[in-house]
Amino acid sequence: MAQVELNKVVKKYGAYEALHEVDMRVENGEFVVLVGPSGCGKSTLLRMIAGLEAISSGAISIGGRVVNDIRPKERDIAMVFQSYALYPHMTVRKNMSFALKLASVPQPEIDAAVERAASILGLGELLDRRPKQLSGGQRQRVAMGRAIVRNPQVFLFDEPLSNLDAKLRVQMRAEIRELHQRLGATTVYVTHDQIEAMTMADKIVVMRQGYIEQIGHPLELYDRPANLFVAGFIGSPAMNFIEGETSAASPQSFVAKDGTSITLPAGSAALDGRRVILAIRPEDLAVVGDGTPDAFAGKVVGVETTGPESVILLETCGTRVSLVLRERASLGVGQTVLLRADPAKLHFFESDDHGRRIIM
Amino acid sequence: MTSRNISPGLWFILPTMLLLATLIIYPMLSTVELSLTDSSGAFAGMRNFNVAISAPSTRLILFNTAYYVIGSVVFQLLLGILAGILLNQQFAGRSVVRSLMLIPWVVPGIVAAMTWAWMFHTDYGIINYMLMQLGIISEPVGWLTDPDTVMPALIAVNAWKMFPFVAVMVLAGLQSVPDELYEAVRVDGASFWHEIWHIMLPQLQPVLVSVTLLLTIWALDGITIIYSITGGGPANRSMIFPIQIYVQAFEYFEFNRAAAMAVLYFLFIAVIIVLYMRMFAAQDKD
Ligand SMILES: Nc1ncnc2c1ncn2[C@@H]1O[C@H](COP(=O)(O)OP(=O)(O)OP(=O)(O)O)[C@@H](O)[C@H]1O
Ligand SMILES: [Mg+2]
Repeated sequence: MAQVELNKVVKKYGAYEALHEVDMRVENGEFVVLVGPSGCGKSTLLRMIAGLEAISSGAISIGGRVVNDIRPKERDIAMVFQSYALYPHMTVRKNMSFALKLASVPQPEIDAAVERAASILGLGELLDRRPKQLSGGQRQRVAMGRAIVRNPQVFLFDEPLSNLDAKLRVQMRAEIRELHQRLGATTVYVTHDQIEAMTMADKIVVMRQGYIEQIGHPLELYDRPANLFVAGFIGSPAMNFIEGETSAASPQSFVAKDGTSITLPAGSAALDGRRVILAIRPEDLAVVGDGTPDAFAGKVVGVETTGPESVILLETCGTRVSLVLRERASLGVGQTVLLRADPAKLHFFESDDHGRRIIM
Repeated sequence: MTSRNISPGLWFILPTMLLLATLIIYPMLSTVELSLTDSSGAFAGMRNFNVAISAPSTRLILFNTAYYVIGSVVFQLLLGILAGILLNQQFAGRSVVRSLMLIPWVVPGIVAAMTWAWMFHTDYGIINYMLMQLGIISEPVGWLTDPDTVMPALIAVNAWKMFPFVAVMVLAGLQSVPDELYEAVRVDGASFWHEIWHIMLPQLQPVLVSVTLLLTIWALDGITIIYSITGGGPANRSMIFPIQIYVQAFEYFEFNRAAAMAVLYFLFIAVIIVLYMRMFAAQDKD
């Protein structure tokens, strides 16, 4: 068990800088998820922790030891790859025992470790098969088994579930969580799927274009996104953004591009007469009846039903917004409805490139 | 069966089959016929075969053939795998080295053979010259005239000639190995040697099985190098079966005896290849 610390870590591929002075800390036993869009540098960061990529500058330490110049095998880490990277010509048993064999662990100990891992992961029946003879989910499990057997200080996962179908993904998500609770090992997990991040992480690290945008507990990121990017990235359907200006008059209100006015909660003094972006999650918007105070009109342009809930797409405030109803929608496309935003759930962001959260 | 019931695939391969029949099957049958007759065309039964088998040189020639084939294939594989693995690593000037390595393979066999014959020459060859200069030998070695060195020398030439082919195949095979496999094995604690042994070689196995078969066949009918360098000498010490057949037929004009030897050699090769395929097929299922 160990903590992982990144100190101003930079990665350059030639002139191209893929990671810019990244600082990050993974506590002992913590499950940290790196999440971000494709190409943001998640894999690069993970591979630098593993020792598969050189560090251009800065320092990475594992368990208090700087590992910049230490080879992967001496870092005491185990990695689960996106393609699983099982050794195709070896049986499941050999795949799982390979690292211990290389480390000259005595055979009885190897057997015990493999048996234990196999029973944890339900691989007992499959030990004498080759990877080719396994399903995707089983391969995934073997890949995890191979990691567990070594009892490493740190587990690294690079999008381990992205090759599985949706149902299996949900199941493996829970299994990996459970495994983590059981082993308590420090874990860094890469995904581009924010739902995976939300459901699995003790702490999420949101990345974009080689920068860390925000680090925090999943709900913290959900409730208080630090900027427009995180706000838009975390949560599904994505948060609604409405451009407009705040008025200095009292009671304060927000006026969207198309003139729609939304009343602001008392004490929004920080917003006096500024161009801002108002953000609201789809579940914090409601369809209301005539005569409700602070309501504004919207035109339905689409209805998506998932069963338990419906996502309504609307045109209002000069943009498109979505709204989640926890019921079957009886709304039709083209209909005009009244909406109300929960004043306590409004977020405001600067309307510049950084889109920082405006704290009130 | 009407023509409609015949699989359309059959029509597609028919022209090729006809061509093969004329170019391969007819000569084969004709060889068998030659082997069973005498020079006047009368039926001779097994006489030609008896003469061929009981010739005093047959044993030596068989031994030489096996020696040449096994020696060539082993060194071609060793050199080729080594070169393929090295050329798969990142280093400056890699593409230049890769192209240069192909030279032995693209040089026409006869040119390579004559060049090596001169290099091995006892009195004027550069090999003896260099070894003497370096003080490794004190007097010239008759590489191609000494019965003990002639086969190793010829095997060296053959290995040199064909190893680039193996290297190219190995290189192609290695490029289809996913990077993640190397990374996984590195994280698992492997050294470069382990990577070769536990990842590269197993991944190359199917390629190597086919390449070995090809090399064996080529070595079995590899006339060019030996015939143009030593002609089978000295005293049959580098004589191999295909050359013996050639010599019998086109130097002694013993066509019937040569045909009998060709039939025997054909059976010999067929047995080797069938055994090899059996082994290969068994491994594949495994
Ligand atoms: N070997 C390389 N040479 C040059 N650039 C690279 C190399 N590897 C990655 N990059 C670049 O570095 C950036 C980060 O890549 P990385 O693989 O870390 O992305 P990622 O966040 O894992 O994306 P994904 O979700 O698609 O896997 C990308 O812009 C990529 O093009
Ligand atoms: Mg990636």
